[in-house]
Amino acid sequence: MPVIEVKHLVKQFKTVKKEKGLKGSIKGLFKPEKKIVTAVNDISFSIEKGEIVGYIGPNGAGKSTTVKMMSGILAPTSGEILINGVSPAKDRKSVVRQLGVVFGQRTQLYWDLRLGESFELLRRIYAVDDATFNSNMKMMDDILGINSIIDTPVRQLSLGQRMRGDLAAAMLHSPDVLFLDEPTIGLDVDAKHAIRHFIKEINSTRKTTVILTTHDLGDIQELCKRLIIINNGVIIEDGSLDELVDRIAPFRQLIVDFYSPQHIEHPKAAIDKIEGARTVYRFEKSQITAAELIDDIGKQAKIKDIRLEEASIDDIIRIAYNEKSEHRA
Amino acid sequence: MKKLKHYCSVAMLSARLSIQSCIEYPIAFIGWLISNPIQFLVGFATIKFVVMEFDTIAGWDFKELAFLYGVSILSHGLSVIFFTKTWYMGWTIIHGEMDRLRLRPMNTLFQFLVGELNFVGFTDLIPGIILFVYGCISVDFKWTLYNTVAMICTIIGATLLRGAMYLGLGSITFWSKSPMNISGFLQELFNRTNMYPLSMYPRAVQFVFSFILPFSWICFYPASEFLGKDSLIKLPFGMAFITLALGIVMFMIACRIFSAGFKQYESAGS
Amino acid sequence: MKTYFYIAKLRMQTMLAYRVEIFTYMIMQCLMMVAIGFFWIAAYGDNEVSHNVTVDSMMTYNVIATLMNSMYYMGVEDRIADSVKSGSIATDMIKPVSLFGMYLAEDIGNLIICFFRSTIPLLAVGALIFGIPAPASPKHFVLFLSSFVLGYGINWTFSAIFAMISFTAINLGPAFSVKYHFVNMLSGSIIPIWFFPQWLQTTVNCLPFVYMFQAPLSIYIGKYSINESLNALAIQAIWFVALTLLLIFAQRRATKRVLVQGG
Repeated sequence: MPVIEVKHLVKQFKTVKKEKGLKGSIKGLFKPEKKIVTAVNDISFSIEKGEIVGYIGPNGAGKSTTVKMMSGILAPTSGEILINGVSPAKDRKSVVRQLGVVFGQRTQLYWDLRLGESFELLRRIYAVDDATFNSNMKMMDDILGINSIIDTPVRQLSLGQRMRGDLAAAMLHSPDVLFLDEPTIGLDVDAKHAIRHFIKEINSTRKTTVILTTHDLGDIQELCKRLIIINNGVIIEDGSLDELVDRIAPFRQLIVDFYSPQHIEHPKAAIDKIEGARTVYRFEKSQITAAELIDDIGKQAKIKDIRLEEASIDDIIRIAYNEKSEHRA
Repeated sequence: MKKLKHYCSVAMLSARLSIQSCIEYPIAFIGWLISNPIQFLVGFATIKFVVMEFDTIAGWDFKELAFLYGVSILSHGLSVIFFTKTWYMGWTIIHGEMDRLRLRPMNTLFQFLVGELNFVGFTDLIPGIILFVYGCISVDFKWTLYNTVAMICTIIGATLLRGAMYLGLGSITFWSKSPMNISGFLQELFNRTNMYPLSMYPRAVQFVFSFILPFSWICFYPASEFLGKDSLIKLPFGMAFITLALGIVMFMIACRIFSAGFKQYESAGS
Repeated sequence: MKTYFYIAKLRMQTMLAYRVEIFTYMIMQCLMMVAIGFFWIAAYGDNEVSHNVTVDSMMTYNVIATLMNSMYYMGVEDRIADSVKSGSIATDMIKPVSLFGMYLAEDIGNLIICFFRSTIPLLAVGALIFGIPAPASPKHFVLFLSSFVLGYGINWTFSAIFAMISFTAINLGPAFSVKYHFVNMLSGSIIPIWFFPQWLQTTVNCLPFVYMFQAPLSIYIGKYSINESLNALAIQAIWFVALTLLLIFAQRRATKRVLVQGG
């Protein structure tokens, strides 16, 4: 049974249409005009236990709205969400017991108190027994080094430390599913590394299912075995990163440095550009392997150096975002 | 039973944490400790001055007015401790701070009210206690068993009544999504309408403040029974219990409004 | 000048955005006015006149005081406090528009909305229950208008100076609350200070508060003769000029401090 099942989920917001100018404001006072915005439009997917799924999309695509619905903060307009077979809209309390949620932009810790106090409060809220609490705390210390910051007031923690605190707080009640909304936003390289290490670690040792939204390509590359891409409230891609690369950008680049300027053509590769002694070839994986290509070229001129480049994730995601939205338009 | 214990343990710890948070800013706390009592001494002084001029107001002399004010301000102090959060609901909702409540496996309203008790509210309770004691002494309040029970019911009912109105009004922001804070004005209206006996108003206004906006149940009716004063509604005894019952009913209604608002809560952010 | 008009307009638009609050506030204001009005009727009891003021004049006093109270909203206080708290005061100070000009424009935008929002319901309810709150004479009314403007100026500059103290003391929540209650009590906005004991009256008369509410109101109801009114206006003008100078001084000092400390 999948851990998370989302079926035909729709979320609409009602907003008041503001008219321009003072006249509009006065009119709005007596006769406000309502407008309906669809943030999430009929999305469906299911996630199995132990997956790490990157839920990505441009700003305003509906990512956070989906995460908020899955974690029971928002009620869906229509459609269904099942977490371990239970709907958060129907039985919020039992669903949230199985969830850990972290919002990168907002802390859930007590701002003025030492970090440990927030853990103590959460321990009581979730009624975590001593043995579980202690073993979880130990694990959090092993992975995140929590004990070194546990006595510091939260307001004095750096952003990276605070995020570590938030992650630990979300794991205290040993949730099955972890929702992370932009967990690495604004963090430095070290802190990002620590967070990614943490996600991998709990995923492998506890089989915790992780769904994270992010704009960080490093997160996607290092963590996500599966990507769900959403834009304008609709899912436009759902699959592994490799699949996505193969479909969207199935080509690679071979950069060859010769000893002198050359113009060597190959039937299965196109020349992208020639700069002095450097020639850049572009070829498709399905047509020819890199080794064959190097071999063929090497027969015609002496090669000094070579480099092989994949299409960058950056490109792929950009293409994915644009492709479908153009398609829709 | 287990559930009750669970909620109690969370409430106790939350209370401790809010005291600790408050101690983190001692200067602000001392500031409130000075400023809040001043507010009520000022109110008390105005009663005194007016009575010095006109002797009585609607047949109530200064001692009786002091008693009325004391009961009112005591319930005000208590309501400040438990319901301050409802004054800033607009802010809380707009900044998406309500999200957190839905993420935890506990009742949302319980978390909202108990989760961050306002320890600073105790600075409002101090003048409340002083004026209450002063009022009781000046009218020579008899602490018989009935009177004691009735007084406790009055105070609890009055606190719930005030809280219910703050909560109900605050919950409107779930729909209006406005950061405007009108509860300060509401507080003043409560205090102003309970400072003087209801019987000074024409019958129509008395009716409004008794049945449409039940402000007078906060303390006027119970106090007039304790003092044996005339009022619009006459009962041989038990005004205090009506206050309590009304407080509970109003509070339950406010809870309904809160939950209904929360149902269509739209969290902030994308 | 165009900028300030724009700021005032913007403020008016934001004020209008929240209809539920506007209507609730309107109702609460009327209730408050009615409550205080009947309090005076009860307090006067059988007395027709007290301190040369009739019950009817007292009713007028109450209606106009409530109306003034709604227009005297001093947003400048919160704006300065917020800007100190968030640390944006440093950048605000070096903006090309005058900071206080901006705040004043906002508050005047506010005042205009409050005027249109509150005048009709308050005057209507007031007239219906307590009789028409007419000024003592056309002359008194003209004098009242100038006195009102000066009263607004005194209140505004006082609030701004008070908020400027937040440059030295960051947490001003309690201080604002003290100030609010003092102004409420000592300005005669609810209870005219002629009911206070003599010693307190003498003290209060030396403070600016009475010139925010009680002076304009006394002119309106005709408690002051024309000569007394002119006299009150002169004292108001002195207070206004003094407070303005103090505000300019406080701003210079604060700007210097911000520049030296770099925020």
